[in-house]
Amino acid sequence: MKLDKLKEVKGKPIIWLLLIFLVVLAIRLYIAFQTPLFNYDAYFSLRQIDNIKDSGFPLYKDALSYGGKTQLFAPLNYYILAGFSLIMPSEVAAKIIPNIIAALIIFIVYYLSFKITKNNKISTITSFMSGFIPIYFVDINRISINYLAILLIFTIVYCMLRLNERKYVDYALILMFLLVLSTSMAFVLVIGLLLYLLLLKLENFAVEMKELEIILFFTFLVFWVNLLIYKNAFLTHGLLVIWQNIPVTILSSFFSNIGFIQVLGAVSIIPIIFGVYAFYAAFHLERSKDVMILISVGLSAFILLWFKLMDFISGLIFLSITLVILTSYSLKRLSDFIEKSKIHRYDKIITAAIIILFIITVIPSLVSIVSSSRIGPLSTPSMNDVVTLKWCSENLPKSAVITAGLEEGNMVAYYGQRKNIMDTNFLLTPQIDQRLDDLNSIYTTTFETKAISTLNKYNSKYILVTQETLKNYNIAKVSYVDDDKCFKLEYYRNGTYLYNTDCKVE
Amino acid sequence: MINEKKYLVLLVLLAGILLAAPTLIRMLNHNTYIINSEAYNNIRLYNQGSSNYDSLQGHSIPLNIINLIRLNDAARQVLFKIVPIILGLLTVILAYLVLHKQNISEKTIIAIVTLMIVSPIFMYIFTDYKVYSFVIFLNILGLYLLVNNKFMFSSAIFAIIPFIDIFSGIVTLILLLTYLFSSQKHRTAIRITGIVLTVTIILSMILNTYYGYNILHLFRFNLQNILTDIGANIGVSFSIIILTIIGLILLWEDGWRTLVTYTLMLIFIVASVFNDTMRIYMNFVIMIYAGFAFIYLNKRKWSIAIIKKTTILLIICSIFFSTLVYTTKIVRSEPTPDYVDALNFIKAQSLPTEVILSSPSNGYLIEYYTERMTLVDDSTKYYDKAKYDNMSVIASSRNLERTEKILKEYNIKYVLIDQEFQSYLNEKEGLLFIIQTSNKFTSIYKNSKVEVWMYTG
Repeated sequence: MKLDKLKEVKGKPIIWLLLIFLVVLAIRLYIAFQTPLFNYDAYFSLRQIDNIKDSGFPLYKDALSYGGKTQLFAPLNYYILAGFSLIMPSEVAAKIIPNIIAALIIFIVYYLSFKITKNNKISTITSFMSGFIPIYFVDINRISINYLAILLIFTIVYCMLRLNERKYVDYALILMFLLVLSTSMAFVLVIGLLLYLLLLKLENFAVEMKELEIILFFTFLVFWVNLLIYKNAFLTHGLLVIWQNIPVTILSSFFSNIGFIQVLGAVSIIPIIFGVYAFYAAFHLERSKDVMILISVGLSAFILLWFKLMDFISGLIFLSITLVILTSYSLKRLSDFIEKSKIHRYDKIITAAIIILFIITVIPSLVSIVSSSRIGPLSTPSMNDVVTLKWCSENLPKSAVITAGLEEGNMVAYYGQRKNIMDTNFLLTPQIDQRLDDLNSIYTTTFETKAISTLNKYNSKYILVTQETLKNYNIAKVSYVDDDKCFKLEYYRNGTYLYNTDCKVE
Repeated sequence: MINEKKYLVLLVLLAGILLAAPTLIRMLNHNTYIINSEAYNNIRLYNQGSSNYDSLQGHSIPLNIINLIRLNDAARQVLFKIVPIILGLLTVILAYLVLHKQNISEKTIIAIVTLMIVSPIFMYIFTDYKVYSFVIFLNILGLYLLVNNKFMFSSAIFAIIPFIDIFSGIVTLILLLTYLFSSQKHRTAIRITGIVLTVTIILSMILNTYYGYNILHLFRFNLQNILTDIGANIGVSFSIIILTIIGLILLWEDGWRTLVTYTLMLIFIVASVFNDTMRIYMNFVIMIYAGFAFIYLNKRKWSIAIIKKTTILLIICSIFFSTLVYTTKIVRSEPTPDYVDALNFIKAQSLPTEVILSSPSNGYLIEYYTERMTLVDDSTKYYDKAKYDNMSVIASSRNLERTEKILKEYNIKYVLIDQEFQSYLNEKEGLLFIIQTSNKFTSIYKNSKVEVWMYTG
């Protein structure tokens, strides 16, 4: 009797899904709490969360970033995190909530796969795969909008597949509103849905009026809301705003940080092989409308990535989740084939082999990404940097401008509570390339006068030199700081230096 | 019929309010000056009296017969400020009447004309004295006469266009030929009008060449921002583009006529991205498709009512958002009293032969108030590319010798730095550095808007 009950429970997919969810969440939280700190970019989000908690509003007029500038962003993600930070410390909420959102993807991958395959086992396997995509672990400590965006986008895609049921229309509408209020990545879905219409037309599928209406509505919604949010950026940068005013040197090294093999590892080889096969099969062997919408979203992410219109990590995450869902379609075809062939007796062995192969290929990439000092979730600032900046917040004048590496800019504003010269929010900043050149030259120049004149230009009297900065600039030390006449070591802690200068170049 | 009149009156009223609003708001802000645009160039050229040579900037200009009409001061003010608005209102009435002749439903006509009125390009053309206010009005008037079978009058009206702006004449001819392809109606009349227009274009070309104008200067193509939502001066809103695409799909009919018409339209649309005149014409054409699409979306039974309401609301909001962005932009545009004060100062201070350096977009304005030559204005890049390039050299060069050489070559004595030119110079990082470090420049005027530096080298 008990055995029967156990078998019954074991057969229920929701139990498996919950189990996968808990395992994925546990691993993610374990990694997240390996350090009390966050990746460098996350400190911008933390400032927004704290500001919402204190004042009810995001920090659009930012007095510290770039010495004072207007920030433009969709605020919903920050409001969600600020909401949770009312019941727990914001730094804890910022670790837990994004990872819960990230782990939730396994449910939506299951339902999408099930919609395509009508097969519990395959859907469960793909949902398992989605939880362990290596690139999906990059943002664990970044308080990234990617997780919420991806969850919303793929849930909307699922609703689009079930528009014939009225409640899914309502869900789709609500989720679309949430998406546009969360992120400008809604454009990925807009372009994906427009591509989907094009593919349907090319493949002679009937376009349902409901689909057409929702796509039209969503297109207008996304464009208008983004025009409202980013109006000033459009007026300042014109159409170039689509590249977010990213400095040319950073944009040109867009793909150079990660090689082809690393991309294969980051996305994982099994989803790539099966996903690409699904792409081929959906067009040439067995045309499927459900698969086409996923292909369109994947293509959209690929196009945006190709033209550098999307952050590289976000693009890869989109592609990998799409490929994982498409994998279910290929696995279904494989399963149908096995069933009809003489090897159907080995069905379970083949399934196990695929899972084992996935695990074998994923683990090295996962370990490599988690431990990556460049993009991994543990590539955080050191405690010495944090202590130094906290010292700054207590001892430097309120109006002080601290020069720090590009990535450390947000940290200066968060821990140091002082102005920075530059951080990674490039929008609305004039002469962004010049500013980046200036910042680089402060650390790399051998001419003291040049460094001082650049520091004067940005009214900065303090230079933060961390081990991360030295590593990024590939230097052993800043060459001119030994001159006692102009530079004074204001604070030092285990390899993190804070220099002060009062010199001026007339 | 009563309803139709009522709608027409309301449309004219809406047009009147939108066309007068920017000037009225500026007046409420104690700013009675004309909005900065090519209007200043047109007024200056009119006042100068010559129809074929710009004596201030020193180059030939295309023939424009409006410049030959001599009026007294009071009548001139009417011409510059009131006539464009009246032409705008007449254009609305004529467009309404032309569409009535085309078997289009009343609702669709109202939608098309409303979209036309709220379009930033309509406001751009008819708020002050632009060549296009006459050209577009004449086009619509000619079309009205054509659809009412008065092709003799229609031909006469179309024949005037090349003598106001020859390139507009060419665009009118292309559109007439496209209409000829697409419609079975008024074919003979269009053919005759087309022949008359071709003859007048050739005549205008001969006259222009005779007066020394290089015809090639008419073809001004360069990539431009076309979305008013993101700051274009002569552009359309994003929603109108989407509506136009829907309209084009809706009005598609199988057959070679539609194919040819659509191909020509597509070429025209692509070309209009690169050319102001074509974009202005295209604005009026695409409103027809956008209007059809809007009514279609409004009329058709949607599967989900809430989506219909929200989508229509979004479309309306985004179109009005575009109008609002444009209106705000022109209300805030130069010149302000402070700006004009600086220009009057230069006029009093300078010799007639001395040249002013400032941003090209303020060139017409500066020329108008100072009666002095500017190094560059909006048309310099077409007339004198080398001069235009030299401005860029001055802005970015930190080599004093090189800068001085150019300043002396063009007799540049004044550098007028407003907010826009300041950002440009900040970006280039040359001239500002020289001004601050060389002791060859003296600040002779400064207020909240403008700083004027005199080259004393």
